Amino acid sequence: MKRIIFISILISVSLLNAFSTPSSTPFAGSFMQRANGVDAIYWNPANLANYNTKSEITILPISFKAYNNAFSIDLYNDLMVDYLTQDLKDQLLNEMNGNLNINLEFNTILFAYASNNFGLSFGTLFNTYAKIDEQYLELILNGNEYERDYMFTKKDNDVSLLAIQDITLAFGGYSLNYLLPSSMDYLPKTKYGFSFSFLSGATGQMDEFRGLFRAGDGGMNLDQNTTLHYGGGFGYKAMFGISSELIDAKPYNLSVGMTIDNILGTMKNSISCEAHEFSILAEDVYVAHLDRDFFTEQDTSYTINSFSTELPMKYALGFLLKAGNLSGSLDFAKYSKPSAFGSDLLDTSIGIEYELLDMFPLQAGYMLANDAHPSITAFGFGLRMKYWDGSIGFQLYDSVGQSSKGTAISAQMKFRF
Amino acid sequence: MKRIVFMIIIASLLIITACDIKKPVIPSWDVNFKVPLMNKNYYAGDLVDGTNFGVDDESLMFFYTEGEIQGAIVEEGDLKISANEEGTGFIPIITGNDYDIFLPLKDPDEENDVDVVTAQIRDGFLSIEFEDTDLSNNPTITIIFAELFDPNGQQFNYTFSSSQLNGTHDFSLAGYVIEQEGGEQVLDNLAINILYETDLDPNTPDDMLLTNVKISYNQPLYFYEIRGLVNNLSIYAENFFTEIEVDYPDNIENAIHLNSPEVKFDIWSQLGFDAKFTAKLKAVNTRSGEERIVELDPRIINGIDSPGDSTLTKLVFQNSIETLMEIAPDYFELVDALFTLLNPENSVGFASEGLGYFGEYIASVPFDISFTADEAIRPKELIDIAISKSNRDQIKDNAKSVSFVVKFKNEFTAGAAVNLYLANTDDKEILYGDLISNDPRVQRITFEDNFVYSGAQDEPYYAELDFSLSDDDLKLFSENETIYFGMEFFFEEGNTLMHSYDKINIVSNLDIKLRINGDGEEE
Repeated sequence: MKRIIFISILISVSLLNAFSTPSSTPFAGSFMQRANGVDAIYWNPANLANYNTKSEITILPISFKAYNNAFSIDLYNDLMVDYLTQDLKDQLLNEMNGNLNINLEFNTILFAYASNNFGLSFGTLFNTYAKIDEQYLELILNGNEYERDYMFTKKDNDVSLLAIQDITLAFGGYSLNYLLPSSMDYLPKTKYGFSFSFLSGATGQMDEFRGLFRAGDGGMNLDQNTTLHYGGGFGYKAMFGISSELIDAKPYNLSVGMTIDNILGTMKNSISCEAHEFSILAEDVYVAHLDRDFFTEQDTSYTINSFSTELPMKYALGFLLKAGNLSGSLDFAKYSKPSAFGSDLLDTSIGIEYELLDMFPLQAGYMLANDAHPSITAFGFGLRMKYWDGSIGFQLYDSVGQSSKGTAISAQMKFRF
Repeated sequence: MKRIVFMIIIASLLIITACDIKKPVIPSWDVNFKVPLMNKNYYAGDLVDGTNFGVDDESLMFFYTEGEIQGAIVEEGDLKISANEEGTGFIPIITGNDYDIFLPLKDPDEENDVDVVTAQIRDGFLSIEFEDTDLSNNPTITIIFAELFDPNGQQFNYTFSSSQLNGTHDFSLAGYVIEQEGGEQVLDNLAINILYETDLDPNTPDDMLLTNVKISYNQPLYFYEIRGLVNNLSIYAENFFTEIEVDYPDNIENAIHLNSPEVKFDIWSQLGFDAKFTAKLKAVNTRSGEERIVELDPRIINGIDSPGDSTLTKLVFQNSIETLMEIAPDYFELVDALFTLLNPENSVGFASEGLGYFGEYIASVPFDISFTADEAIRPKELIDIAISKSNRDQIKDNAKSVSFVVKFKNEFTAGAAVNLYLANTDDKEILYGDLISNDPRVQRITFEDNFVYSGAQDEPYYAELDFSLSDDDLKLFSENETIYFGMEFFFEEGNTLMHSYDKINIVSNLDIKLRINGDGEEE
């Protein structure tokens, strides 16, 4: 079992971008003020009651995303030739910004239910990423340069895994205006909400990756050290959100929402906590002396004390402007600090939706690129009726069409009664 | 629900089929690996290697051999006085006379006998013979040796009763000691006092013959140890040979120049006599069969002053050693080592069985190297390179080109032409051979006449040579599990003194361009 966990960590990894929902896929994450009912449990509990029926449930909506930072379909097609010329090899290497970064995420909600001001959800998230140094690929494709130090660090070689389940209770849709003094009646209608999530799962992270390879007159030298730790446990977090309608003059409606997520968020891992260290050392190796043992290898696993994985606070701000059947949204999100759950760079995304014939929503979204991820172009469509709602969404990473470096697919449906 | 699933599938297919995705294939490509092959310093000291090679504090090189001197001891029987059957002769014992007689210990005809001042007898018998005894008055005879004592320190004093005064009586002298009170002179005789008594005492009349007595030793007297003089005593050491484990480079005999070789002996003496030491040294070059023997000048080994001590004599021999060593021997033998004990001015010494001489010797041969033109110097050690089957297959199937770079850093004060050889045999005659082998199994690549100029330790000469291998040459790497890499140097002629730290550094790396096969090229 430990080996399975370890192999899982090696081949995958994780970065929890956020507890999102498959419904947000077509909007590239610009979804805070669009989310209501069961979606609002995760996006902004203040909007929990923003739907037209008494209750809403969703069963097994799914989203799956996979992207990388280098390979596009175009590049893939270019590389599917009988012989790789130096230009093609350079083209591949140039696409990497120091590493090949692969991200996988699977997200589903086993069951979610919302009724009036209350929401309950059982969600699952599996998120991994792996980074492999560009220099490794360079060695494979071009060979080595003599007397060059190939330095490998955690910056370009990393692996992480997060498999997590949550039970989230949300309460929202409460008017904030009632809590304010009458002297503040000029404020727009504002609601608030909050949620509590109980988390369980497993996490694994790389602590150290340090390597050196050099071939020169001093011989061939390899010094590689890797340390990982992993374990399972339980945690919790809370979210607080408010939502305010700035303009409500039909057919126009402008709302703004703000959330603070991961309040007191932490995962305490105390189950099967282990660390794994691997090192290999070869010094001054020459082909003429390969008849002797020329490297030493150390592979050690040991139990470690329980450890905590902090969920950094996440601040998000979202706008939604509705004009009849057309709506546009703008969202900003940012973690308080970089962590295993993501960078602290600002995510900015926009989304639009046109509801054709009042029942066929056509959706699109775009998230700006930053140093942590490429740009995301999204679109989707669905069928929206009073008691039933279904949609599918797609995302394309970095570029659209043949130049895309990844994709996400989601499907969801909700029932209202 | 089915409708939704159907819609998702259709939409996904639309997305996927909208993209033009080629069928996956593994392409082939060329990759260029630069692999360190070797990095080796050939010190001047490395040209000669082995357990009998050394470098002194001034980095001057020498080879040496060590041996032992053993078995040079006084053997049983070496310390003796020959039998004296005549002894005292028959002496008539007549009443009214006193008898103080002497038993001779020295026979001038026995030149190898020892002369004793004191001695401990290991083996020997004393014979006392009576004849013509007149028993009528019941005589008794008492014989007393003044210098002869039994193991208990009691003087030899024996009284023969009347009934014993006939025939011969033998007394074992094993363990007896010859001592003389306060005397340091060599004993030529043992003093004997003979006393008699009869029933007529004290009124025994004079001139009455009681008996005739003779005292002698019919067998030699052998001594454990003596104090006295030894005469013509020679002690041989065992012949002792050593094999000199020195890996001389080929032809080094013509390049090395011996510099005051010498043989040092440390010899310990346990005997109280000076000795003359003579010996021969034999050196053999088993590779060429040449053999030389030199006789060492006789030297004196000092004796000890007190029993139980030992004293060290150091001897250094230089004459003729160069003659011995210039054949670069690998076999060295000490022959006919002999210690001849001396009695200069008849000074008293001492000796004991089982004691003698022991010690060791070291032949130390400092040498310089002065190279002779046109004589190839080859490091003894070949470099063997193992090539696994997978690598051989890679080279065979995928190698597009292989070249290697050899960098020289010469600190020798002599330039050299360098030849490099690669072959699938470690037979040096083939590897370095001038003639191309007719054996089709032999594969060899040569890179000859690459010149490296002279340098110095603080100013080395650098040279870099690039060698490319032809397709035919590559078979050497693809068809053999092990290939051997040899070098030979043709140094410029010169009389330069080489220090052990002078070196030539050789660094080499392989440059291999491989074709990584893809789907289209797999067999």
